Amino acid sequence: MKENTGNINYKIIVLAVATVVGLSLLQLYIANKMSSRIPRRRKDLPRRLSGYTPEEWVVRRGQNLLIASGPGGFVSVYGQDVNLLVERGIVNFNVEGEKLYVDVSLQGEAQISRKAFSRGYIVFSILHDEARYRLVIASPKAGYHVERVNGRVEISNDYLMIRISRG
Amino acid sequence: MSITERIGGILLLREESYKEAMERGTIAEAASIAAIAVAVSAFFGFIGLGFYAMRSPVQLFRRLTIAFIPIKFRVPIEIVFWIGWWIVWSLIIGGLSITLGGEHNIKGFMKLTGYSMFPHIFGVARIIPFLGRPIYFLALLWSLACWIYSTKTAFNLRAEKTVMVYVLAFIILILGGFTIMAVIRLT
Repeated sequence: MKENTGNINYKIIVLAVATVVGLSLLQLYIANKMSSRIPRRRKDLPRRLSGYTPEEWVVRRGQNLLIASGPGGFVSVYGQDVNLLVERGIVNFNVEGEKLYVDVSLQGEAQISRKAFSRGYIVFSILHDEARYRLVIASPKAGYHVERVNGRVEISNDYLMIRISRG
Repeated sequence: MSITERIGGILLLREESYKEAMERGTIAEAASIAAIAVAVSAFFGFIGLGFYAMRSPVQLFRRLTIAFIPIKFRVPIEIVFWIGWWIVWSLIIGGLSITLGGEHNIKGFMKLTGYSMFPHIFGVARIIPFLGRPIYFLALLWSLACWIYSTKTAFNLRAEKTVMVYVLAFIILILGGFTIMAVIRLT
């Protein structure tokens, strides 16, 4: 088979290199923009959060995170993206300016299915300047305080994340 | 024949386009076509991933860690994967075809398979939620069809031998996959 090796189309090669490099850099830029919203490493978290007792972790709020006070009560958690709703009028749980995200899926150590958790309840005790929390998984069948679960709250300027650690 | 006509002919499995591409095309050009298609597809796949996950940063974080691919290098990794796939798979298929009595024409075959990677460009559909991935899957099947026709044309094989080459190649792929998984588990 005869080859036309002398007729290399340089335009298409330049276009390919430009496309590969350009799109790689563009996605790197976008990924950097997006990942600034995501908690990455523990050391990125505020220092105060490093110490906690397993059952109760006192967390000082980040500047942008305002949690309305209340003596304690139930906050229901449901859905894949996990919305928090005030229920029964016991607790006023609110995050102003920013959304509150609760990750129910990082459950490697939790041994609680998403479904179970999505029917469950998180109990927050809110103090004046700090958020204390207890995590309680409640089943509607068995009453509310079925199983107590220790958790971890990570809080930064723009997010608050709860990780269940052990049942 | 312009490059667009050539690509169009190859996508439509026109024999004269395949012969023309083998005669007049170059490997660099074929590689460039493959790289452009794969890069565009990978980029839109990345954007689509974002749309899936962007509803919640935590969800996004979870998805990205599950995907095992570092988000920041998703596009280059996908490009390198597919270009590597093109080279390795061409050599494997070429080796099998020659073993089964095909002509010695690996170079021509690589030109054709480079062009045959062009359906990857329909990976841009991955930006569409839900529908995008099935569309991309169909595009991959289309690419596979072009690969099979390339094999038949480049090595001048009969249809049944071409099918045999691909059956053997997929057995190699599956065995290779199992071996890699076993090695990963052992280590």
